[in-house]
Amino acid sequence: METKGKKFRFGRVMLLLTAVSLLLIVGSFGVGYYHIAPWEILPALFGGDSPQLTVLKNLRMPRILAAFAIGGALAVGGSAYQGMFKNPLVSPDILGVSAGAGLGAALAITAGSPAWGVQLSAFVFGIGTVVICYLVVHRVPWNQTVSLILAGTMLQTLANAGVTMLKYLADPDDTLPAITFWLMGSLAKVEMETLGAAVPPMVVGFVILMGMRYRLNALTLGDDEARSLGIDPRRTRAVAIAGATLLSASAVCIGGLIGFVGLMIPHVARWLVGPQYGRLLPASCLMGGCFLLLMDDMARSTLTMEIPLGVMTAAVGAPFFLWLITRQGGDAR
Amino acid sequence: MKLDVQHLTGGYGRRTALEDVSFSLETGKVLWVLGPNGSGKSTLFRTLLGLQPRKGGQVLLDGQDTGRWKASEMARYFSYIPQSHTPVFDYPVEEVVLMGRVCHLKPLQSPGKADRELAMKALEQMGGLHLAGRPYTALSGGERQLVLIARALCQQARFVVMDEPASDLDYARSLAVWRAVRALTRQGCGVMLSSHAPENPLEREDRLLLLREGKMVAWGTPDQVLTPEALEAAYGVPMEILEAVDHAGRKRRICVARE
Repeated sequence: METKGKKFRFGRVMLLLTAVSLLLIVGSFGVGYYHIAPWEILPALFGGDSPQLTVLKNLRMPRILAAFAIGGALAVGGSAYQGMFKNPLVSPDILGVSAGAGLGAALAITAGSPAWGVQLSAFVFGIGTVVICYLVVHRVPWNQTVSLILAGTMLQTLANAGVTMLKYLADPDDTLPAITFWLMGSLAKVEMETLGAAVPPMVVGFVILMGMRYRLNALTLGDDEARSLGIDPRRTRAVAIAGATLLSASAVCIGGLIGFVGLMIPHVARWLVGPQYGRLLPASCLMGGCFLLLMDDMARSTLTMEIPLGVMTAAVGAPFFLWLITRQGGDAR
Repeated sequence: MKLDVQHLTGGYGRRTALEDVSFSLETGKVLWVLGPNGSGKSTLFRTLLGLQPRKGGQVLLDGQDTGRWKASEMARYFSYIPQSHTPVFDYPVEEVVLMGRVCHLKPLQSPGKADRELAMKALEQMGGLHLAGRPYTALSGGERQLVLIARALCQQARFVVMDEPASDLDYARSLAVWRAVRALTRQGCGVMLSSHAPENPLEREDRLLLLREGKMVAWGTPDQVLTPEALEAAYGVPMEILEAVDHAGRKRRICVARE
């Protein structure tokens, strides 16, 4: 039967994605300035002390894991946001996570805080912005989604204005480049400790969304229908926002502003496995991870200098997305 | 089970789109809400279901007011089929029907095998089994209506509320919807549905509610409500009732404009 065929397809897709993920993760250890041949990677990783191991473990591993985790988190957050706003053009920063995190980071950099302080500040400001956004709209009884998107846009504008002001006032020799660099998004400075702190909230966010996958499905039909199906749309959305925000805030605070993953990957994933959240979330997670890891590999190996990751994802992602849009137009309802 | 709606009043802000509407409906029966566009049919349904603010009156289920009920509680007694229905994402039909089970799940629970079987059974009853694997967005208007009726069936609510289920369907497809409505009543559901036309496939035990500008014009059996005077008051057009006998010897009343 047709439906069974689809389930089989989902299993196969997940198997394939897992295999690709593992290959990419191992293969990425071979990418970088210090040359390590592909067949030397596994022996070096498990073969005891060597200069290769030091490079692989201290420099490449945190970066590879961070790229995968951030990509996955942004993609999962994006698919959740797109569903709860029943709008396929929504990205995870719709409620101001990224803009808030940017302001938090800029403030911490201006205050001369160490790297962990910048990340913590970005995390707190990112979540804080979403909380403010939600509280503003909380009392609106009907048509909450439109109000949320509007409030989010306003808060983004406000946070961006703050960042612009800080950049304007910043010392052009050290603070300004630091802020600019952070805003471009980069994984060059990720360490195992920060990654260890950022992954638990991501896992919590993912588990929350996965646990409410059937409610998320109903929420994509709109508030009225969700309610008539027995779901309190406001409460459900509040929990979903919390989960998606945990994911995107933890991603942004270690990687800076990496656009596009959260907007694009959910579309591609939906195209592969369908819109049901039970399938979409795991597929998005792996695809987002693979995509960002690949982008980061390209960012650090294409030119002799490193290309900012945000530039890389946009340069590859935007044309692909444009192609996807023309395809959808051809499908005609 | 009996539904009693008493003096229901509703609307957004200061505007009152529905004023002092009262009627009752028992499970197994059909209530037709008739009236021209803008007469408050959708507002009545949405207010009754708690989808928009209630300004006054009561909705009683066997004497219990549903005003403070949670969405999950409401959904066990009422299922709703909204008017135009175009979701953004292309869920397979099977999943759309399965969404009717959400109100029966505990917070972190997923639908199980029994739920899936129920969904497929509902789809089969509506003659839509062949649609199960297709994307809902690719269906025609008539097929979507049947899928949503299957979802209502799968929800196992005692009352089904349908907002103009046949308004954009062709003749044969609307007949399929009417058949589905009767199938629902045979299963013991009370069906509430609206129509902007005065002429509908009524049966003797059906109840009619005639609305105009958010107010009740008439309520009762077809014989009581379908009078030239009441219809003219609702539609603002002179009307007459023709009587005829069909092939089975049933007396039929047909509403037409008097021109």
